[in-house]
Amino acid sequence: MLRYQQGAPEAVDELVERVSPALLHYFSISGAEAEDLLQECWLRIHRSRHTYRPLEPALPWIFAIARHTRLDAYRRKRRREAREILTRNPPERAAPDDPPREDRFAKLLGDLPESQREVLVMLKVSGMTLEEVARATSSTVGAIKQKAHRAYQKLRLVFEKERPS
Amino acid sequence: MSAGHLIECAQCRAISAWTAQPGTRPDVPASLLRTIQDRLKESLAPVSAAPGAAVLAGRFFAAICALAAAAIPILGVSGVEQMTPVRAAAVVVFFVAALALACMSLAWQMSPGSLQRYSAGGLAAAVAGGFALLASALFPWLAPEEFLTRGVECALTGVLAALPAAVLIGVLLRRGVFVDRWSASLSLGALAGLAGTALLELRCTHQDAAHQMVWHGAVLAVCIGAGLLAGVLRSRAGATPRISKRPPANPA
Repeated sequence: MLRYQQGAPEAVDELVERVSPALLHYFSISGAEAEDLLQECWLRIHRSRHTYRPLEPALPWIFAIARHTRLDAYRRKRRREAREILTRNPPERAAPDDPPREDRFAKLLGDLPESQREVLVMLKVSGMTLEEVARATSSTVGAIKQKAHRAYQKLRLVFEKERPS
Repeated sequence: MSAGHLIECAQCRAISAWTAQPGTRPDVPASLLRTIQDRLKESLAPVSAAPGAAVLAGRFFAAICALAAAAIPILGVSGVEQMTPVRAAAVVVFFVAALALACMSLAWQMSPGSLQRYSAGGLAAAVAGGFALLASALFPWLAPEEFLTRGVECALTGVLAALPAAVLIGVLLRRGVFVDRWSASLSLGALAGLAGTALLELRCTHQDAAHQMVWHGAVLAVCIGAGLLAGVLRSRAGATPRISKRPPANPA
């Protein structure tokens, strides 16, 4: 991040390669526009890079911007949908070139409330600590622990239902 | 989940192992990575990193003090001159502490991902409640004279005194990137309200608890409310965070 702030092009390449998979996974949890959100997020990261404080952890800073990008996109989508008028006979959808990959993880996470899902992805998939997730979500460590605990409880219930008798 | 719990609980071990599977993370297409990298490098230039939160908070506090120094010759200090030493000391301590906490909260919020040791909403509630407690405990309960007329005049003066503080701090906040708009607006409202109320305490000669709680408290409430409303409106409008088109260049 420091080299990125200093304007080193190789730092851009390294940062984008290392962080993009975790960001793409974070965005894919909430919808189909993950790649668009990834690009928008990187643009916001680029324009905000002066706000990164060198002694602070970088992941919470990046994920805070990612979270803000996702929330803005969600609000824009809601406003757009509120203005749309549904047609009686919608046109047929073209078949996708690649059939969607079944992601069991995403399906199970889909049953969780948005806030719990977000915390679980940051903690378990992106490998962030409790404090880092608290920073990224502008929350407290206690609140994150509570959300994670509730998410695990719900996942345990789902696991129990899926387990063959 | 702690390591100890994972040893004991088979279900949590299963969840933990499952979330760590490589198949759960999507691959980023190489073409997309190249597009992003090229786009960022088009406008890549060295930038000067924002100073630490303590430095920023110090700047906000200094700005408020400078405003107070400019306002005192206009508004006067008749209120403080009428206070007992204990009352004056308690009022000063309260406002210095509350302003410092509000400055720190705003400074944290300027950089995404900063650890918020207390929430903006909690701070606003504590400031409002603390002031009500201070006024009721420190000032005598007297029979109010011209309660409405004097009170409205006081409240208007306080709100007008808060406006320059809001504008000045708002200008200093332009370099920040706020991921939670309503929280930032609420903090700014609380800070401006504290500045306006503090100046009112210096000036106002109505040393009775009811007047202080209702009319000086109203200045705080109006400013906090305005901040909250501004934050909600900005969030609904979907305003993008205040990010300048080009970040500040490195002066070196």
